[in-house]
Amino acid sequence: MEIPQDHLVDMYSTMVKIRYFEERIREIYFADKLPAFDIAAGEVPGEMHLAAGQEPVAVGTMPHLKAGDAITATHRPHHVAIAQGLDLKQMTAEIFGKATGLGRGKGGHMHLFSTEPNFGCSGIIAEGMPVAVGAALAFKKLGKDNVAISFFGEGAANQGAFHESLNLAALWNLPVVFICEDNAYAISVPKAASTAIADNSDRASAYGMPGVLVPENDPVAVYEVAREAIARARAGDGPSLIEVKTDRLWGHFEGDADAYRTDEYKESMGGRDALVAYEGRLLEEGVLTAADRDAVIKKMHGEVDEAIDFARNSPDPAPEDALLHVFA
Amino acid sequence: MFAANAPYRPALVPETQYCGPMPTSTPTWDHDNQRFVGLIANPVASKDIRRLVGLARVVDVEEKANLIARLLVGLTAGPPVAVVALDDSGGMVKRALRLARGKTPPVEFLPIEADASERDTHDAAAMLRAMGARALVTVGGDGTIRSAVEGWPDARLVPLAAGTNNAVAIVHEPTMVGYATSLAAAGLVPDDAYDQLTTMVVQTGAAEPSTAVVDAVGVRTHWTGALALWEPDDLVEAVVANARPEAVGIASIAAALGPIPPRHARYIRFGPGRRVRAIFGPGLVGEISVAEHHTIAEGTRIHLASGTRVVALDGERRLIRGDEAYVDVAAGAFLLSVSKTLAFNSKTGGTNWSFGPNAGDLEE
Repeated sequence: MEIPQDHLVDMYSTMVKIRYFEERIREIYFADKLPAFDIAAGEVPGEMHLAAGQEPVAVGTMPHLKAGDAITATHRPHHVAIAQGLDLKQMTAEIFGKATGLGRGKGGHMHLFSTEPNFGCSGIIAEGMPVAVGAALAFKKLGKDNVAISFFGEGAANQGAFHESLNLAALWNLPVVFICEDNAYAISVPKAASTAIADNSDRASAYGMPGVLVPENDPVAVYEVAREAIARARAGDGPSLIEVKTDRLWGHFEGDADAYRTDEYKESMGGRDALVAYEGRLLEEGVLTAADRDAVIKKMHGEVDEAIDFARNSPDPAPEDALLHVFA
Repeated sequence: MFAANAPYRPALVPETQYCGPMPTSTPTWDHDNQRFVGLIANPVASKDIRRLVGLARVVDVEEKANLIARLLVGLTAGPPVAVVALDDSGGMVKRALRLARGKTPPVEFLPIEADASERDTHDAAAMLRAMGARALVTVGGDGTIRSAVEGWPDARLVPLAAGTNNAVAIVHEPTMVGYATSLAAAGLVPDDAYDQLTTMVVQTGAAEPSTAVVDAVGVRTHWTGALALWEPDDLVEAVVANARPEAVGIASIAAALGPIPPRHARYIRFGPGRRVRAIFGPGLVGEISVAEHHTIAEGTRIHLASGTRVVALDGERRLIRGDEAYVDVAAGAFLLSVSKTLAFNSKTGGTNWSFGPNAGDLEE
C-alpha cells in the first residue's frame, strides 16, 4: 500500500522539528549549569531527558490518530508530545517552568498534560500504561471509536503495571496500542541485564494479543505497523503490542556521563541516524527536492525558535499561586 | 583457521546480549579430527507485521531455544559430531544449552558479534564454510536461509523452521532433524539425500548481489518499511523457485500455476488475466491476477520491469531498485531430506556409525 505523500513529508517535518527542539533545549539547558554541573541552575532547572534519535517511534504513529484519541508517554516525552501536536509554545513554557505552560509551570518537562490533544506523561516508569487502559475503557464504554496509545520504554516492561495493563486490555478487549520504545538502556542498565527475554513483543502472546517487533528505527516501518494496530483497535478487535528497536543518541539525562555505553556503540548510532537516513530516502525518491527540504527546515526551526522566545518572555508563576492547581 | 579449545568465548558479547544464567559446559572435542556442523539461529524471525495483518504465530526466543535444545539433543543420537554456533543476540543457543542440561554434543561459538542483522548471519555462514563445517543448520524462516546462503552459497543446509512462511525450511520434530543432521555430517546418507535448490541472484545496482531461495518479487511501492509482503496490489512481478505445493507466500501463487521442474524457476507478471488463489501468509487467503507466467531454466537472466521500485527477497522488501535490475536464476545450496536420510539409516541397520567417531565419513 503506497503511503500518501503528505504523510511522508509530515513525518519528516516533525522529525526535523523534534530534533531541533531537543538540540535547542540541550543548548539552553547546559548554558548556565557548567562548569560544575548544577542541576538547579539556569533557565531550565531540574532533570532533562531528551529523545534525539527516537523520533521514528512518534512520527510513525502520528498520521493514524484522530481527534479524541488519547496518548500517554514517558519521562522522555518531547518527541511524542510534538508529534501528537501539543501546543509547542505552551509545552516549551512548561519546560521552562513558566506560568503560560501547559501545567502553569508546575509540572516541568516530565509532566506535560493536555486535553486537546489528549496527552499525558509522567516521570514514574510505566505510569502511563494503566492510564491508557483507563482511557481505552472509557472509549469503549462511551461507544466511541477512539483509541489510546501508550508509549513506554523497555525498562517499563519489567514493571508490574506493564503486565497488569496488558492483562486488563486483553481481558476487556480494549482499543489500546502499547508501543515499546526499546533504546536498549534503562538509565544505565543494559536491557539484557534486566530482562529475562530478548524481545518484549514476545510477551504479547502471554496475554492473548498480537505482538510485533520492528527491528529498524525507521519511520516508515513504524508507520506501517502502527497503521494496522491502530486500525485493528479502532475496529474493536482489541489491543496489540509493538516493540520498536530505537536509539537514544544522547545520555539518559543531560549531564549523564554516559560511560556505560561504549564509544563504538555511540558511534554506530550516529552512523544510522534515522533522520539522516529518512531525509536521504525522501530526496532519492523525489518526495522532496533540496529546496523543499530547506524550506521544511527553515519552517520547523522557526516554529521552535518562536516557542522558545515565547517561553523565555513568559512570566514566572506567582509565588502566591504556589498552592493553586496542586492536588494530593 | 578455527583453533578453539575452550567451550565458550565470552569476548565480543554485545551489551544488549543475553546475560542470563550460563549453561552447563559441554564436552570438549578434538578440533583437528572430529567433524562439526554449523548452527545459526535468528532471534527476530517470525515477529513481523504478519502477526497483525494475518494470523501468523509468534515464535518467541524461548520457543526457538527449545527447538534448538531438541535439535542439539537429537545430534547426539547419531555419529559423534560437534557444533559451532553463532552466539545469537537473543542468547538462544545458550538458553538451549541450559534447557538441555548437558545432553548435547560439544558446542562452541564463533568469534562474531551478533546483532540480529542479516550481516551477522551472512558472516557466520561464510566463516563456517571456511572452517569446514559439514552442514549448516539454520533456525528461522526463509529469510534466515537467504542470509545464510549469501555467505555460503553451496552449503549443505538443514533449515529448521521457526519463521513465518517456511516455504523451504524443514517442519519436522527438531530431535529427528538433529539425528538426521548427525548422520548427514558423517556422510551416512543416500545419493539423493540432498536436493539442490535453485536460487535467484538479484542485482539492483548495489555493490553486491543478493540471493533469494524462494522468491524475488518486484514491488511497486517505494519503501521497504515493515519488510513483509501482504498486499496483492503492490506486486508487479516475481521469480519463484523451490515452490512446494503446500508453501504459503508468493510461492503459493507459483505453485498454483503448476509444478516447477527441478533446476527451474517461474517468472510471473501480475496484472489483468488469470485469477489465481493466493495464500499470502498464515491466515491470509486471497487471490491475484496473473497476466503472464513462464518457466525459466537455471542460467537465465530476467530483467525486472520498470514498474518495480523495491525488490522483496523471500517475502521481505529489502532492496531499492537501481538503474539496472535483474535476476539470475542459478544453482544454489543443497537441502537435506530428513526423511530420506532417516529411511536410509533404517535400511542400513541404523548403527553403522558405532565403529568409530568418524565412521562412514564422507570423502571430500
